[in-house]
Amino acid sequence: MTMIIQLPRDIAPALASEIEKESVFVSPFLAQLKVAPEMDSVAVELSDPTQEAAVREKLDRFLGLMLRELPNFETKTFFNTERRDSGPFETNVHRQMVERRWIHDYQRGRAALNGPALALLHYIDRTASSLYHETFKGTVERDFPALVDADLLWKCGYFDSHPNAVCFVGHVVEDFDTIESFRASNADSETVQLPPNEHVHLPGMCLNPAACFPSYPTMSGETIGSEGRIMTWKGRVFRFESRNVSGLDRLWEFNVRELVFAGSDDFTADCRRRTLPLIEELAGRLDLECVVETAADPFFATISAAKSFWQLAQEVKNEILLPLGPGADGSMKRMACGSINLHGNFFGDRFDFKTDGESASTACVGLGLERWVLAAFTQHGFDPARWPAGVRKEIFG
Amino acid sequence: MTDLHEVASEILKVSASELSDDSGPKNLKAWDSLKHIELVMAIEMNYGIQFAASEIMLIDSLGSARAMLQEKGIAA
Repeated sequence: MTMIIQLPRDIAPALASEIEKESVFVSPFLAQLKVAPEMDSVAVELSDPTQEAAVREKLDRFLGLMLRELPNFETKTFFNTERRDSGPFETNVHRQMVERRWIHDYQRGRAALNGPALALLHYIDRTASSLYHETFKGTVERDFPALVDADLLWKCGYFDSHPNAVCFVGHVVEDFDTIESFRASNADSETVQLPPNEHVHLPGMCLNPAACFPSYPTMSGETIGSEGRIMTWKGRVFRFESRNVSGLDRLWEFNVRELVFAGSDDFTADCRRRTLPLIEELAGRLDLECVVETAADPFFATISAAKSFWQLAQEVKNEILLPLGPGADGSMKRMACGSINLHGNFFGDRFDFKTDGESASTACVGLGLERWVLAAFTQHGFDPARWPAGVRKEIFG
Repeated sequence: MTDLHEVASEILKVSASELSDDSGPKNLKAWDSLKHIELVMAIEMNYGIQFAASEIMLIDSLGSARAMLQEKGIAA
């Protein structure tokens, strides 16, 4: 069954895309929401027509929140690199990589890279890490668990800003009969038998959704000197994307090369400024078109307008965008492959680490490695001759 | 039209009698960055006006919001 809902005003394409993406979190009975090409209405498909009234009520609230109007900010572009490769953008890259067995797609947002795809991921990670260590003397290589306390995410404000993306970890309750029942049901079955919800306990643990979070408790109680603190590592990140998962561009589980700065306001602002040429250098070595510009996170609908307003007003988030070729409407599709963020003293205050007697400031840089791989193969295709010589040797042998 | 303190009371969940023109994020814990935007939108709806981005960021008390409304010819 399809419902048509008229919008109170025409909306911009970017908002239309955001509404379509976030609509997956409105109701389990909402099968699909599409904004009309005229940008003045939405078509909603329901999986269960008996739920029409309930879904409509939620949709009205969701659309009301998404359509809240706040003043716009002009996007500020920091750089825009060109590529030397004059070949066309490759299409159906994910499918071609699966056919070449460079990706094993487990579905539901998980992928195992192999061959040149994995070699490229390692090259990007290694190159970024080297650039960070060369530029920021004293950078420490770290490693952090992907399994984190729910309390950590609460302190980081994640449940407030992205409650839809949280992944809790559960286990079968510590009860002999319950565990035996779970064992026996699987031993006797030809397919997997999950335990009923009442047999699963959530012990307050989550899969980490933002690479930088586990680094902050490690600084608790410390005073950071004028030299600041700089850490980098490759982290695994998990974000529940519901039906939005797609190829390498929207995974549930992915890898991030992370860089965290902690110290005074001036130190973190200066580090962020010095990171921009490094991203330009990384894109240059890969011969990629790349843009860095001001942006806002895709927050949950109820707080989206307000949080986005502050992010844009204070220019705290710079997004790294890699073009993927022209879309159906002729405009260039771009994929966010990372961000460079200032946090102010939010984490220093929450986790009690200081500089000059005040809560320290932090900043972070995250590169979504699978997205960089997808963008690079999209911009250069599968013919090794189109790749820059240094990279070609690394990934094709 | 609702009084400015009544609008703020509704959004911030603070009794109107506890609010003054000096009330702002510095002395009201409830006035965080999210409530700031909610308050701005409630004021806009109540008085039928729109603030510019620069004005939204300059509001640091109910008194400053009142002054901006007066600049727009609204006796709040």
